[in-house]
This record gives sequence, C-alpha cells and structure tokens, in this order.
Amino acid sequence: MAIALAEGAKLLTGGHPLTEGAYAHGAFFEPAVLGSVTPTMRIAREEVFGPVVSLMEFDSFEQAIEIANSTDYGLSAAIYTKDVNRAFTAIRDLEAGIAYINAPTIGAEVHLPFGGVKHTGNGHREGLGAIDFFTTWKAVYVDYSDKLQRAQIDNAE
Amino acid sequence: MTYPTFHNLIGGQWLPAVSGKSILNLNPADHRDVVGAFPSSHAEDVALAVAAAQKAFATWRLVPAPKRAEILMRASLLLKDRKEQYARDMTREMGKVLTETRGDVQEAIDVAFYMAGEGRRLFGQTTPSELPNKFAMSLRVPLGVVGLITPWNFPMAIPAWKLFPALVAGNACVIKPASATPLSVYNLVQALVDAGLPPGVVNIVSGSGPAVGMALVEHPGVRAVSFTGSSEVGSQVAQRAAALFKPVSLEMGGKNAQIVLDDANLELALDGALWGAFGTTGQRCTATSRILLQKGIAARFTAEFVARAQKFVVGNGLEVAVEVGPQINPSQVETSV
Repeated sequence: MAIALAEGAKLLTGGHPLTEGAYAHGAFFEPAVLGSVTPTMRIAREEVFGPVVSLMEFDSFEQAIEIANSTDYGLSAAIYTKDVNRAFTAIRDLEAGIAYINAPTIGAEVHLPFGGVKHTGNGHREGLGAIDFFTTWKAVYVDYSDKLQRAQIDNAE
Repeated sequence: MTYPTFHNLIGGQWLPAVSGKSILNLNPADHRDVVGAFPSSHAEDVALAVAAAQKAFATWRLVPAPKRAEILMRASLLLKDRKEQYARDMTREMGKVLTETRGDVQEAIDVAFYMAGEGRRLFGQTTPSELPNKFAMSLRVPLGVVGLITPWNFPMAIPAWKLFPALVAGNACVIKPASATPLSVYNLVQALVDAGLPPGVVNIVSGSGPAVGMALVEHPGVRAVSFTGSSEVGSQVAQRAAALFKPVSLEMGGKNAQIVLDDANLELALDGALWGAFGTTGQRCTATSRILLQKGIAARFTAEFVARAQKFVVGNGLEVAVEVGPQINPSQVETSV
C-alpha cells in the first residue's frame, strides 16, 4: 500500500495496523480503500491478499474490459449491469476462469469447474475438473477374432 | 498455558515428527492463545507417509468406487454433526468470522456429497473398433499416491476439494496442511477416519512448505501433486514437477476486478463489492481487489463504499458482532501496509 501511495494513489479510508486495546495481541488491519488508482500502478497489478481494495475509473465498457484484463492473473471477474448485451459480451471477453454477472467475485460452488487462466494456474482442476486430474485413462482392446489383426494395416483399403 | 500436541498421521498411527520438533499454531486474533503444537516434519516423515500410502493403495484401489463413495457420504454426515465445533476451531486458528468458517465446513460437506455421487459416475467410454470382432473401451484408473499441498485461507474446504475426488477415484493421499491452520485438516481427516476410511489411505504430514511441500513434490512415489497457494511457490512446484514428469494442479493468485457500469443496481453493486473485497479479510484468491467504476456513478459509489467500509467492526471472529477478522499473522499485515 505504501508503494501505491508513492505512485499517486489516495488513501480514502483505513489502511493502518490496529495495535491498541483488544487488538494488541492480534494481526489486525483496518479495511483500506484506495482511490485514484490507475492500471499501471503496482497496486493494480500485484496481489495483496489482505483487506485492501483499489477504486479505478473508466469511460467506456470496452475500456473496463481492457483494464480488467490488464493483469497477469485471470481467476475471477464480475460485472454489474442491467444490459444483457454487455453482460454476455463481458462473459465472452473477460480473461478469467470464473465470471459473475450481478454478483461479487467470490462465491464459487463446488460442482462447477474452478480455476483460472494466465498466472493464476494451469486449468480448472478443481470442482468439475477434479476427477479428470486425479485419474488417468486406460485404453482397453479386447480382440475376440482369434487371429492377429494389425491396426492400420489389415483393414486398409 | 497448556495446549494439545498433535502428531502426523502415518499408516493409521499418530507419530511425532522424526525431528522431534514442533510448530505452534497461534490464534491470529490473540497470539497468546496457542491452538496446539503440530509436528515440524521433513523429508524423512514424507518418506514414511508415502510408504504407508503406497501400501494402502494396493487394497484401496480394489475397493469398488461406490463403496469408497459410501465412506465419503458417512464422513459428510459426521461433518454436519460436528459443523459448529469445527467452525469454531477454524476461527480460532485462522481468524475469519464464524459465519464464514461455518461456510467453510459446509463447503467440505458439499464436496463430500458431490464426490460421493461421483462414485457411481466414474464413466469410461466404449467406442467401435476399426477391426471386426474387436471391442474397445477406456477406463478411468487412479494415479496411485498423490500429494496435496493446501493453504490457510480455506483450511477445510480446499483440503476437501482435493481429498474427496482423489479418494473416490481410488488414490491414496499424503496431505500437507498449511502450517498456520493444520487443525482443520486434522478435523477433516478425523471425520474420514471415523467414517471408516482404512489406515494409510490418507496420511497427514505437518510442517513448513519448504521442508515438507517440496519433499512431497520430489518423492518418486508421489504420482501427482495438487497445490493451492502463492504464485511464487506454485512456480517452484511446477518447475520441479515438470522435471519429474508429474502432473500438477496449480491454483494460485488473482487480481480480481468488479466492474460497475452506469446502469447497474448500485445498492447491489455496493453489497457485492464490500463482501468481495473484505469477506475473509480480503484473503481469498477470488477476493475483489479492483473495483472499476464507470464515470457516471463513480463519485456516488465511492462515497457510499468508503462510508460503509469505515463502519466494519474489526475484531475476534468468534465474537458475534465482528464482521472482519484478523489477518493470518503479523507478516501478512506487513504485506498490506
């Protein structure tokens, strides 16, 4: 967050460790909101994994998709709109393994594929994809002709 | 203060780490509260666990999949019975609020139900042969012993996402819980053991990522590795696994965006953004970390979002009024600062 502020982001609320009173013996941090964040700042590209969120502004729908896709990650993305055409365009164009329409980026259910693209991971190998990951295939041929049959040779022509 | 000591689970036996050392599991809301001492294991413990898993795999793979599934079903019912206690244990070791840890246990229950059903659906294929009097088909078969490396942010759900499909498919498992939240994996595996899982089919080796995780990736008896964690560690896992020709599943970071267009239901978008950004104290791989606002609603959204973010009650997740728990440890707070 300190890097974000140095790069021009503005702290709109929170953002400090809580260390007094009931917080003295724990790992507490005020939920932080950063404004004036632009797509090239590190805070807009790197994962923090804590209660820190960046607010960014855009003009057009197309620009929003471009910004959403402008990181190395590709796990989850959400869009809030009542325009069905834009909702479906977003489903198509967001570079993410999971897409939400009028719902937040968290909330996956266990029986759908779970996973991401780009630096998030190597495919949807959880949920629906898990059985594929934890098994391999065995191809089995049972010849009941009682003679040698050569594939690609004896049946050519 | 006194606290319980936990051991590794190897071949159905609870064994201390060969090193004799342990790692303390501390409550992130109050570091004076020690949840327990867990083994500080190394490669020699992994070797024992893999050997036990290999032995168990020889018979587990022959148990019909629908029968394997029945154990998952029984485990799911035990998890339902124990949901409140396991959720409280999880909040104590991980910090997120009780409503969320109840959801975490519920997710494990959901995966158990889902994967129990898969026991009767491990479909293969039949297809015509190109030759006469010849039959062709494909069968799903288990991989053998699989290594599972799980994170601290979903201490029971993510282990369940990996363990249950691996088990119903007929694999034997060695799981390395996150060193910050091992108790929830112990609770999950205890439910499986109580449901009748044979000894050695699931083995727990606790310890640090570098000491246990990489030993698991490198052990020649481990046929595949499923990893959820940081992109930095995932890259190391992938590179090592690639050199050993092992399939690897990697689930890592995100920089997830919520887009709000001018025509959005703003209240709905605010509710979603607040939950997406600050649920689990922002420590989800799917957490909303960027909110993209169209210019027509940006000022109004920002004002309301900031006002509501300021009202969050931060504190110990076991307290009913608390909405945002602690981060997992002080070094994670440092990464936020």
